[in-house]
Amino acid sequence: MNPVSRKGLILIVVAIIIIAAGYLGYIYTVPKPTVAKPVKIAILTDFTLPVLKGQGEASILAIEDINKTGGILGRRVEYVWLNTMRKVDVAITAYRKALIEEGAKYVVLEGVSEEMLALMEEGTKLYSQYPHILMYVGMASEVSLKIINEYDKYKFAFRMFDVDYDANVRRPYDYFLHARDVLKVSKIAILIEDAAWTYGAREGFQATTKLGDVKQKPLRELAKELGLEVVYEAKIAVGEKNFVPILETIAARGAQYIFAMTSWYTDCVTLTKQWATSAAGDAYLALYGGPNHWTTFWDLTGGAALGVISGVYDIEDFPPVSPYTQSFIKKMHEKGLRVDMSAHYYYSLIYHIKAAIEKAGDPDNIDAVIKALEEVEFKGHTILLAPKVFLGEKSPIFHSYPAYVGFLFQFQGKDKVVNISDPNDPILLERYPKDLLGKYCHPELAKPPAELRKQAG
Amino acid sequence: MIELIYLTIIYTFIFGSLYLGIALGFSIITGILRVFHLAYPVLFLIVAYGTWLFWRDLGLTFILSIVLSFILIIILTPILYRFVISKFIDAEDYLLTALLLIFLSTEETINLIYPEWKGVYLPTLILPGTVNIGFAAVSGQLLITALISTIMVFFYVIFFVKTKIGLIMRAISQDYFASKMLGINFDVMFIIAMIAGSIPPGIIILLISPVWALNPFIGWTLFMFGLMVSVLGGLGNLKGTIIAAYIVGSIHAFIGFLIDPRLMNLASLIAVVLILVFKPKGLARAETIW
Repeated sequence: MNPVSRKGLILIVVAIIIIAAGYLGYIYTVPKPTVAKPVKIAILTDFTLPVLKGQGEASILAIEDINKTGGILGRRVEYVWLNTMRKVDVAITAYRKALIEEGAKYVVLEGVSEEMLALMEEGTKLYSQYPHILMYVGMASEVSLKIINEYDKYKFAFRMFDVDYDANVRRPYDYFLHARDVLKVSKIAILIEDAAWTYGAREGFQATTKLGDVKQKPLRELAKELGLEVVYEAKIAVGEKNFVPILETIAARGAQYIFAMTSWYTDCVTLTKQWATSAAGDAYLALYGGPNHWTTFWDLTGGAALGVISGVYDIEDFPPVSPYTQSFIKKMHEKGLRVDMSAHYYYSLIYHIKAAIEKAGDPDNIDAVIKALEEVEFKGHTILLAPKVFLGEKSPIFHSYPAYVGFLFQFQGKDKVVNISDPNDPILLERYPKDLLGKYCHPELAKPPAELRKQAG
Repeated sequence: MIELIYLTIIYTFIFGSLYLGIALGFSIITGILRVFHLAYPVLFLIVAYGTWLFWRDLGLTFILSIVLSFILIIILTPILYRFVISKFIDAEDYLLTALLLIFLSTEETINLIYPEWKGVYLPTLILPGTVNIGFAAVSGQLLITALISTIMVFFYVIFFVKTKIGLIMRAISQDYFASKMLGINFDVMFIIAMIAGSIPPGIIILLISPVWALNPFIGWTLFMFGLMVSVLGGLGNLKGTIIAAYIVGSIHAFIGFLIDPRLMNLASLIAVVLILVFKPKGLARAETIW
């Protein structure tokens, strides 16, 4: 075999270089088919509390529903569930893990305001390296005041709920209006959970923000404006078990209607049971937040809820505010879960994220998504149909939803929860179509508790 | 105002009797066994959720379910004594830890099986609505609870004062070693005392079910009332427990009706602390059950 000549060797080397260059050029210029990166949402909550678990499940249900219909911009939505144990330090650890280790760009917190405020501070340190959006369903005014007054620092924080100085005025006002116009009462008692979120309702609240001044009147003044006489007012301790002195005093003062500004932290079941067996049992009892949002409140109280008035968000025939309303409740029931007001918000906020990402065009461009969240008018909320459901109102509710004012129901028997809202209520008329109110609201069916007990034998 | 003062007096009796009923079993067990029974809250839960289990899950009649839940307590009590209390009785820190763990694990198990939203309730309303006493209408169920609680205490006192077993138990509570030298079968007496102390919380939870939320965490809440009364009265002394229960009841009624209901619990806690400053062992001597 003849040795390769010098010229031949050069030709072979040149040929190899050309082939290699061609191959490299091919693999770097021809696009490969890629799998789109998922949109990752971290849900921070305490799994051990049934109510928080239910709300978390609502968000997951929304994620499942969205994935079934093609995800967001063709990307799958994934979630990671991290435990906060409802402790600030644990919540911060979970938050950092969500951003740094899990790579989530969307974080949903279910917890108390103290956690949200702490996460907002932590978020300011992390944002430049890990751009993300932090969402929260809760009331505390501090959240809004921080976002409004230091926007550049906290622009990533959103409250997918209403702020206390807005909601705690409009919602109770509607309760009082209903009491006066539908139930025809004149003397009322006001009970308020002694917690941070009710401060304005108890004492009034004033603040100056870059987007305007806030002035919240205490509930007693709102009631007086409507011509109602407040014959008794008391604070309720969180976890209180003995409501007897309150209820007996209310009876002695002749109140016809008891408005209790409660949450999950008030023992609404004990309050209701003691009300039903007290001298105040003939007065209407209207509850705000808590397990009274569930139809199973009837069972929880062993039927003592007969006559109780409350927002109830768990009935499958809930007025269909959006195409998702009734199907959401039904799907939750199929999973063996109950639905309270917050569960609606946790379900809806995932769809709101979807709407914003679709407007922004890229889930990883967080600045664009923030802008979109501030601009997009969301139409898919399951219960909220305020004049405009969006987060960018240039007012003291910036980055929060406008106050929800909804339907009032009365427990009239097992599996019998009646919508007794007034279809002519001016506040409801501002928010809902007239035909929807006409179809679902039946104020004529409202009955005094004594009458209901008599009927029940 | 007169009506509120009148209500204050009536509810002093009602609240006091209720707290007495809650604390009764704890006082008996502490007085005789000299054991700080941290698993006491479990007794409320076993009767409440045991009754529900037999009644709703197993389909038995309600009355039979109540009876079976008490039988369950009577069966479990000697087991608790044999495998936990007698084993650690000379090592108090281990005993307290073991009892606490039993309580926590029971509570968590019940929370897992019957979370609050399942709507567990017991239809034990004896007297619906209100009862007129003079010119005040008071809750019928609370009044019944107070009366039954008082009667229950009366029978327990008779038991300790008039029966031979009661006498032996008093002897044990007064002097453990001296009574041991007289040949008392401690294991049997302790088990009887524990069973005797386990009945009142069961009765109380049934009675207050129509006026108090029933959830897996109710045991500890009730225990706190019982503990406050027992400590104020002098641990393990029934006379002291009775006095303390009505003191706490009167504070709750007075503050609740005449000052501010928000301050009821704080006021009673401050009062207990102040009394204990001057009487560190409680209102009565702690060396005897009666």
